[in-house]
Amino acid sequence: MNVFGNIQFTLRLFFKNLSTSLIAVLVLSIGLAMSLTMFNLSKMIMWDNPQFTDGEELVAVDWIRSFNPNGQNQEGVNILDYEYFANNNSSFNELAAFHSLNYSVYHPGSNHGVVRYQAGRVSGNFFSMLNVQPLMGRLPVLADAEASAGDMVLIGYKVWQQEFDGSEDVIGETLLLDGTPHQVIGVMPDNFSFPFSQQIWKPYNWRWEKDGRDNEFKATLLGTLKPGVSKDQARMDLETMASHLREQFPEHNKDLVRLSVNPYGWLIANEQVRALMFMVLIGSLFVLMIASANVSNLLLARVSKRQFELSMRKVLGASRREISMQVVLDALLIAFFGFVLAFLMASWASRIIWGLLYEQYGEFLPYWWSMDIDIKVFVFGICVVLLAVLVSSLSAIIKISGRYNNDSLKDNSRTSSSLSSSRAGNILMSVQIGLTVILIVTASFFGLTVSDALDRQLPWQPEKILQNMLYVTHEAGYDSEASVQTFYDSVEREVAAIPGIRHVAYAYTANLAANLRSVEIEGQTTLSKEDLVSVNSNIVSEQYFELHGKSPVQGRFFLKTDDADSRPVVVINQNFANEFFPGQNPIGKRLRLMQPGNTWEPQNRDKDDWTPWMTVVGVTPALISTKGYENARASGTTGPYLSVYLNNRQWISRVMNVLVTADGRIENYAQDVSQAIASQSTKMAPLGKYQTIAGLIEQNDMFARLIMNFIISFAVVALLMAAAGLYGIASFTAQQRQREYGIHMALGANKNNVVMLVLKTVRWQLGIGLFFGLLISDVLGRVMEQALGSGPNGIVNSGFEVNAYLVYAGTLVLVTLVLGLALLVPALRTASIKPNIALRAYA
Amino acid sequence: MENQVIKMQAITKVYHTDDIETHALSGIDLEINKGEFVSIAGPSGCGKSTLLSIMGLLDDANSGTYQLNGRDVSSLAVAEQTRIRNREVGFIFQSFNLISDMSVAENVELPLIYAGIGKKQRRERVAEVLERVQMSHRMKHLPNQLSGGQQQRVAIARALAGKPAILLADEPTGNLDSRNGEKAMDLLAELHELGATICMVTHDERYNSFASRVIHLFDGKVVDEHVASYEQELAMVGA
Repeated sequence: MNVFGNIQFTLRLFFKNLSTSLIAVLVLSIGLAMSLTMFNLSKMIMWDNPQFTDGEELVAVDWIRSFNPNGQNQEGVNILDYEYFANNNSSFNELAAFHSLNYSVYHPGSNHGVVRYQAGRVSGNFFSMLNVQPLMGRLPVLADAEASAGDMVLIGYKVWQQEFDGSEDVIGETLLLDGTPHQVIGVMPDNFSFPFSQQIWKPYNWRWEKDGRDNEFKATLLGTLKPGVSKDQARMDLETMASHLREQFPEHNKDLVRLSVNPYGWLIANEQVRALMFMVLIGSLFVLMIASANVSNLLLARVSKRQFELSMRKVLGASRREISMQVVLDALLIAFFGFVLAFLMASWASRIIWGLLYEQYGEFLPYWWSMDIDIKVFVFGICVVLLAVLVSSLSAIIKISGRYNNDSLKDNSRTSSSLSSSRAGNILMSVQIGLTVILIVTASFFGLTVSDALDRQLPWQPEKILQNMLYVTHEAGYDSEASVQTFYDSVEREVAAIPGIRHVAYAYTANLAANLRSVEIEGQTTLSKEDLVSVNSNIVSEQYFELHGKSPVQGRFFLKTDDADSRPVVVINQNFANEFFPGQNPIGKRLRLMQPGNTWEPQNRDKDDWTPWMTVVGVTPALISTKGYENARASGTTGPYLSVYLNNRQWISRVMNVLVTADGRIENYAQDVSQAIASQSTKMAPLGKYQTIAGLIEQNDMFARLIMNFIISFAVVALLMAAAGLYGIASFTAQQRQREYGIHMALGANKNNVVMLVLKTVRWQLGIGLFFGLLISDVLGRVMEQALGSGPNGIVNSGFEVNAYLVYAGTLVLVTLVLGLALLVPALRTASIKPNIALRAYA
Repeated sequence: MENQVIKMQAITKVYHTDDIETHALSGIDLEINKGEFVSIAGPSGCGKSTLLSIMGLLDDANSGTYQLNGRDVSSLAVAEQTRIRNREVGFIFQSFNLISDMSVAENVELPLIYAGIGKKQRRERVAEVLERVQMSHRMKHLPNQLSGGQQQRVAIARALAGKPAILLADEPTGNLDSRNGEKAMDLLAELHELGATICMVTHDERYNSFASRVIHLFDGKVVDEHVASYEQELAMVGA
């Protein structure tokens, strides 16, 4: 086979038909670029894992303790249970534990301020399991976890550079973590931030915690499996041990109901995120399929034009293989240029996406994440483009590799077959339209659902509230709760004094997510732990409600006199009052909340499970979104809509959001507010940047919006490609049948008649494509609903249901309109040709 | 037997289109010996081109036997037919059927490529046959840069390139004016004198005299067969 000669000839034809060649290259490259970019993104989120020596896969053990419809799942393993698993399992080479947290870090004697870093408390074998070595110093040994060893810490490269200026004498230096001195024993390399984006690692002796299984330290387990042991086997091994623990410690462990052993990266990407990424990846592959179908039609048209040449080759003795080679080379050439262009586009798109992610999530992104195009993306691209070549050239190969036909040589000035009569071309067109419909329906469902979910319908204006988070640290000189409150009061005074400022308030959460606690009402039936209702809770200051523009529905809000020495008081929202005190006056009623300790404050950690009884002094209108409340009432899951507000003077928290409203654009006050806070202490750094709540929401929603925009863009591109494909086919067919239309016109057909004749040539493709597209969309829609979840634990939590029939009807109308327009152009063009000219065509 | 290039017995070809059966050929018996120049004549639609297609293994007969160069090729697989066609048959068409995007040399080279002949040998052969048809000076030209007569000469060169057992010419002068037609026929006659076996289909009685034997077809049957000199005699007496 004369491969080089064939390549030369194919190149010659490629450049001879440059316009159609470039269209094919562009169409294929768009589909391919989308697939490459989405694969890159999916790979990063779902499949990229930090790599360790010997190619061992790191797995994470995920533990769901209980499922309470009114509460939330608890995850993480009690550290004593971890010890039991680690000592008794037969599946893991190593099993380590870590607990992720943040520390306020300060290097005494330096001129650096206090900075927050992500940290991890790790078990003694953490580093040996990962087989990593420090850049300087040493790794912890088992003895370091003993109580007598003193506090020590490993620091990351970033901390070393930023807090110690990269000093070679860092080993042995002191670093304050939340005010507690720790000795630096080692520095980790630049490329290590395990498990996520940690920069501080503290070998932790959990025995210092409360003994027994009542302690609150919950760890995530990581391990490397023994050779030949699968994740399923490891899971069954652990579940066998869990059953022993349930028997031995029924009070603490009876809720160990579900366990999974998954690749480590799945800690970042939960089930719903993975479902989303699969959806996005499949959507992009749909676009690629549409692009391939378009290229296939183009190849069919080119093959039709080459009918004579290919027939002559057969006459002269070309085998089927050699004839097919002609088509394959044409497709390969288009694929080659398409691949190069797609790679450039994918690199650019990947950089943009990474930039967006980094801008929003910055250093919280897992350290091993990267959207650089690597070998896996390259191989995926090669596989996909070869598949596209195969798919796109198959119909053309089938068409031309049939038996020699005398007719194909009779008149070599025109092709002997019209595309509209080509079965392959018809099927391809139907497939394109069908896929386009599927993408549009999917995008509509997803877009409408996500848009609804992101439409929080907050009963206040998030763009008018400036926010940042403060952490009042010990080392800044605030050792006592009273000093912390004094700091808050002074900050409030300073900020309130800025001209234009209206309100200054504090809140433990900014009301964007529920902070659920079990509640008990005094005098009402005591329920078992599983049956307790969990409600939303927050710790707020006096001006909080006024800042949000609310006045009390009943009673009053907090006063400065509601301090640590007075009776504990709470404010509830209207929904809470309606739910727990129907038809009654809630003022004066008492309630208590469970487990304030490990989340609210370290100093509360040693208190009892329940808060003391707290008296309701006021009822506020809703401050969290009530969207979906009616649905929640119907399903008995109203917990997140019921709110209890605690007084920040009675529940001192070192971490609080500071909220500010003012006249005019609130963003303009950020600098003044920052300076006012800094004037009260130069040793404390805010935990984030000053932004409005609206900005915070945007940051929160960025990922969901990004995915939504991807899916919508797939649908738009697919529709445009299908339109272009249909336009091409209609134009080609109209050209082929010009003489026939001339005859119609000679016999009296007017312009409309001719337009209808042209439109009719693709009616079956359009009809079949629309029908099957909608049918498959319906099936996929149900699958998607399952995958994304529309219940309380789903990504869509509002109970919003998209009206499927509206979406289908809308899609039908949109696709018919756009494709109809695409057909109209060649139809009108054909109808405008004078009959005598049309009759002369190919006469 | 050794001299027989083509031997056909009881060849029948029927075309089925919807409910209509068209008997293109009915029981054709035909023999062509090596070195013969046979002309197949007859009116339009008599089955000449169909017979030529079957001869050139471009089509299959419905029944009958066909031996090409002593080998039964009646029921070969398509791939084998293609191989034999490439090696044993050279085609010359009415419309020349040169590939417009290939140069003269590339057109002539094509059957040699499919025969798996090496590059050096191909080049030599191409030069040789183009020299024979006096088209060496136009090697790099494209077909649309040549006159009709020149294109036909190139087509003849292409047919000769693979040293086939037989040349099949389907109306070789059909698209040429009388002068170029005469030149094309002169070339074929010259090739015949040099030993080529030629089977030509034509409806132009003038060119039958170039052939050594003329077979008349009518309605798919052989109705007459005689040596070409008889035609000349008939022409002389005005019959």
